[in-house]
Amino acid sequence: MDRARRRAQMERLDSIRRRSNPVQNHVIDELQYGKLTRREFLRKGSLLGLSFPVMGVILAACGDDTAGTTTTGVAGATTTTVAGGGPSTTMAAGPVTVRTALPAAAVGIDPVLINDEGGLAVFGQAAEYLIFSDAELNPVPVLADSWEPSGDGDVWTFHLNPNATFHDGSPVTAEDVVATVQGIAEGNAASAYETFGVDPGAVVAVDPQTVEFTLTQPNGALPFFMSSDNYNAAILPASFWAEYAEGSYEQSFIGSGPWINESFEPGVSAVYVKNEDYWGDNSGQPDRMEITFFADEAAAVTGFQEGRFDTIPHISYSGATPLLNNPDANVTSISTAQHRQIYFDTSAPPFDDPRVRQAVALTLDRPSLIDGLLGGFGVVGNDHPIWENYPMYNADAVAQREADLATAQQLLDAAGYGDGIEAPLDTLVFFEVEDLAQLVAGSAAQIGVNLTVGVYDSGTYYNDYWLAAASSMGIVNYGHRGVPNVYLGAPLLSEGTWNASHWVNEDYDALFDQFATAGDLDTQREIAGQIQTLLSEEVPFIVPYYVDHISVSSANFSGLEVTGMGHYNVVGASIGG
Amino acid sequence: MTRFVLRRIGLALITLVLLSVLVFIGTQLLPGDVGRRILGPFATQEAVDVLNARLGTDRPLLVQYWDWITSAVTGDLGFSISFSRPVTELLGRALVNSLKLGALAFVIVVPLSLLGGIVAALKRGTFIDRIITVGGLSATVIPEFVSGIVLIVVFAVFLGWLPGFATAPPGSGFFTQLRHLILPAIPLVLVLFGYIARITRAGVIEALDADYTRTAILKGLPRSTVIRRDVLRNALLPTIAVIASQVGYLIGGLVVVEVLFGYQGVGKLLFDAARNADFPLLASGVLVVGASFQVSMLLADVAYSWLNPRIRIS
Repeated sequence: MDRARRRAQMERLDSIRRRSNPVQNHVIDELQYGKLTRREFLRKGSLLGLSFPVMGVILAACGDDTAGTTTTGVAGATTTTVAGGGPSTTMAAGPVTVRTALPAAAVGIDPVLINDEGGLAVFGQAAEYLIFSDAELNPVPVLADSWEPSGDGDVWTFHLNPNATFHDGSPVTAEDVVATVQGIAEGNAASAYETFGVDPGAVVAVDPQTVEFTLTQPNGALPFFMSSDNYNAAILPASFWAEYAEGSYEQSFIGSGPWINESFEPGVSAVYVKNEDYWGDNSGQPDRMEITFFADEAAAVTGFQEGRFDTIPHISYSGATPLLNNPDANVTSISTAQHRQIYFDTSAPPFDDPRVRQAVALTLDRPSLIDGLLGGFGVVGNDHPIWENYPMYNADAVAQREADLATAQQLLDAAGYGDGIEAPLDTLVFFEVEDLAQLVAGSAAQIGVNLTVGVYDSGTYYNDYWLAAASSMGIVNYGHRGVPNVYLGAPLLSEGTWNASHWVNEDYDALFDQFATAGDLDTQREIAGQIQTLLSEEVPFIVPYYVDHISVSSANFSGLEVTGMGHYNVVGASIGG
Repeated sequence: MTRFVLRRIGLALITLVLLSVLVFIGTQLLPGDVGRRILGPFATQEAVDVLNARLGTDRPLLVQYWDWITSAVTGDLGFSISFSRPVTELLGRALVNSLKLGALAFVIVVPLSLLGGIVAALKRGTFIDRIITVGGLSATVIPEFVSGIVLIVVFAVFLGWLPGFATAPPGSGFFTQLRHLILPAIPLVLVLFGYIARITRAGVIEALDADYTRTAILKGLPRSTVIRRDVLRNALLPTIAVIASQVGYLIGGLVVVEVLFGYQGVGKLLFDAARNADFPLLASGVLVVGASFQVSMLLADVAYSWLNPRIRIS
């Protein structure tokens, strides 16, 4: 019986292999040879277009007993769970209302212009993406059922879910996807087009359920371009785009999602009601969601303590501090790729010598920084932006840099600065960053590097200091991304537009090209290892830590789902019980 | 009287024009251009240029100013860049909110400080007088963010008696909204009490020492009647002027309290506008606040001159 079953599994695996392209087969190989964990396989496989049921078969054939996965159409309500799972609900007597608090968006809710968490969190409630990138970077199918690359990876095809409809009943078609991709090309998402090689004119509706992207160069991570990570890219109807003007989105809040907007008062509040005609499964969804916007986190925390809010999906460590020991508050966190970069101007003395940069990097006691500044809600960084949870992160490449004052002093002396250095360290007002600047200055002073800290508001900083570093250092923040391409591109390439450290390195440029076009995980990981090593030696910037995304919910509230990007989802939430 | 009012209106208009020029220049001094501010530092320069062209912020300053001021005069205060809706709509709602908060603070502080000033004057030199004047002064110098935070911590968090978040849930009734406004009104009361009480006290003392008061008492009128009819009417004149001058502060100056308590009034709206370099909203908003100052001063002058015939005639 066992042998027959086994043979059937292998036959099924063989037929899957025959249907798959070389890149997909490579991933199956890696799983069979034990080079991928189950989770990594699920993530990488789904990225390459293997559907979850198919992957379940593959896993069963390769000896994994917990086969069977379910996903639902609701973005992120469940990701990979054992068959039969689903959002848990409690039978509430009357209508269930979820009350959340969000930071006020800096601009109106406009798909082209939104550029911060307040905006994207609201935008992502009524509108949906082709793919949802969850907290663990799994690409979850939403409006797109499946997707696959062509042989080289420069043509990608997305297959839309034929059941998906907008709030007005019209179906979500390929035309809408094309119109969306063209509509947001000139706005906040413009830099993503460059990074992923997307030409808005080369996106085509092959048929009503199929969209084809022809890229300017192969890119293994294109699905993330159409995911919730690229938060401007929620799919809106072509009819909306035909008449788009600034402010027109707020007239309708059209979308295909499980929430329908009932009212919106900018900077004050927004109310949503459950979409009873939602195309996916939202049976357990609360009936109503009330969002209150806050400008000052302290006001939101006070409101939470009074019982005014059920959950604050994103709160800083300093905001969460009063709630950490509160039995009525449930403080949770997820690790994210968001990190601070302490960059050097590598184009002029004293920081043009990598030994000086390494020396400064060696003065930092990173675990203490995380404990003191983030209350432990962070992960140690190693001077490159490849977060350890990225599938291509190479764990064997570079040892973790730790504080070593003796070596630091030696390096500084060897570089000829034994008498010390005086330089400015500029930064912006942003959560704990100015405190980080002070601590960096204090650490560096131990080897004679005297940094004068200058703190500016973000407008002044980005305008006058960020890219204009002159024999100085600076600190900047990079928000979470589903793939590291954004961090590795513009901030580090010799011609990069965000290259604050003015770092020019042809070897790096070549490595980046290989990385961006690499199709399989093995190659990516190998190149990532080289990048990690190079950046660790050259240290154009220090990455002291990655910042966790902290949320707080009341003790009787469960079912909040958040992502490092700032999206939140309470479709599966329940109160009480 | 009419000539007086017309002259005052004329002066107010001139002041507003000057204010508009100053405000416009001031908003141009904010760092960064508008398109870059909206799209953020990581957007491409092409995208920023396209947006600037679309918003008209790349036109010469004089053209932008003229456009703005001529529209404002006809009631079109422009289009808010950060909120994507007409400024008039945003300011209208914020104005109503500020007026609600200001009215509550007013209703509390005016009778309280009048009473305090009168009692202090009548008991001049006694311990009660000291408490009221020194206490009032001390309350005035406490910064609003200090008194506000203490109030939140004590009454909202510890005791849980009153809400610390001033914006009532959407759809709340009058009394719920009122309840939410009590805590934010208290710092305003503290700031204004000392000032109004002292002015009242000074006015009452001066009136008590005047000849007509002495005459009235010598004529045999009961003391309470004298106070009610002669002293108070004269004493309250400067107080009215002071109270009216504070109306402008209650409309546009409550930035700290509004941000702290999460309340979308004019002060917080302007604060958000400045942070987001939202020039149309900021400029029009300051103009509206300036205009409300002018209106309240005008009303104060009218009330003062109506109560005091001597001013009218001269």
